[in-house]
Amino acid sequence: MKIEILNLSKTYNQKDYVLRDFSYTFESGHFYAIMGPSGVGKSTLLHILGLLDEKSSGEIRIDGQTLTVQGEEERADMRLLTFGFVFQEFFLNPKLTVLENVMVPLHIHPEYQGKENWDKKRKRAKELLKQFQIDEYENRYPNELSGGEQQRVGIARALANNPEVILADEPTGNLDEKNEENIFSYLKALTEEGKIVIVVSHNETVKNYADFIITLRKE
Amino acid sequence: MWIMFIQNLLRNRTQVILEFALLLLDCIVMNFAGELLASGISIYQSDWYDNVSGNLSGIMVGGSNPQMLASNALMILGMLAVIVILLLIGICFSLWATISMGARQEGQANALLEAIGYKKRQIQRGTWLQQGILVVASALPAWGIAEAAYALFQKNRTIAQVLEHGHDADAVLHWIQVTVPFVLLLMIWVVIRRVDQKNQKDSLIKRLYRED
Repeated sequence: MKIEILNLSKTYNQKDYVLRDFSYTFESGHFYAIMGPSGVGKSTLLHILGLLDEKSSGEIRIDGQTLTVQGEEERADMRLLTFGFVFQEFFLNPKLTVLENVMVPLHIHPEYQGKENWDKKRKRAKELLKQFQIDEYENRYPNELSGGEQQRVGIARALANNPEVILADEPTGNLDEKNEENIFSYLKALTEEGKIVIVVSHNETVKNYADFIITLRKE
Repeated sequence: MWIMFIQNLLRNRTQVILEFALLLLDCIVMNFAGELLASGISIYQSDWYDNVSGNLSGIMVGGSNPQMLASNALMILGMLAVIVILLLIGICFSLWATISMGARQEGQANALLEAIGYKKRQIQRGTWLQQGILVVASALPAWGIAEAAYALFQKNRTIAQVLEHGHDADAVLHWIQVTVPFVLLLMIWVVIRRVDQKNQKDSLIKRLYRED
């Protein structure tokens, strides 16, 4: 997969630019770190890439095809099938077990939807928990895990639908140094499966793992 | 509001019964505080105070000052009432904090559902309206208490001096009468909102399981 960004801008009230004329190409199997001071539009860029926010101008091409997503339904479908999100605050549901949290995206995935696919969903979620070495916690609740373990559950959940692009917004923002390294190495490992990993981070450690570092600056 | 309460009761009985017990306890304590303050002022204003002072002077012997004794009793009642009111303000703030936490978790659940491509994303129902009501409802009792305090302490008057002026005393009583039921209503609303919010938050993601 190749995502080309051409002259992307985001502005509010057509005067104040959050992002101006950003161009870049993201390719499969690489880890990209987006860095820069607060307020330069790092998260905005990530949200536009993940179709959570709309661009003001510019073009996004996926494998050479201009992305022309129309309407919220289509954007939702695209998010479901193409992107996996990892959040700084994990966003795990405290009332669901670790396994159930990982299963959440599978309930709306066309391939896994429906009661008849229950075992298939459980199997997929269990595989992911194993991949991130948290399978022994599958019946625990998020508050019984450490921050690093919770983020691993968050990454497992982001991968549940087997997206081609993983977008992570400050994934280590709430973690200590040891867990930071751990999470970055897990994210890095995903590039070996051919995924595009794009991480927004203030953390200098990310430079040790990123194949490319994109530094955004204020005008 | 009560329909929502009954719906919640049916959904989650234990939790709502506990909430309701807490609410009742709050009501009783709040009523007690209001009564205490209002009674203290009424007693001070009534003939009963003079009678008690007179009777006490008849009973007491030696160096005791019956008027002082009655004043002190009144002061203790007032202090107790103030402490209880402060405690209740604390409870209100703690409930408010719980609500904020609930709203945060609800926001996270919404963000997650949006990110994973859930189409029927639930927008927080009437949040701005509810928060607005909460702010106004919290401000009114505070305004009442401030006005009562102003009536009591303006122009360097002592409590006794203020209470001797019928108008000021009436203002104080009026604000107590307005404030107490209002705070009670606020608390009922806060508790019901809290229960509703918990259910909303849980239902957001659990709904996915039900639909499955």
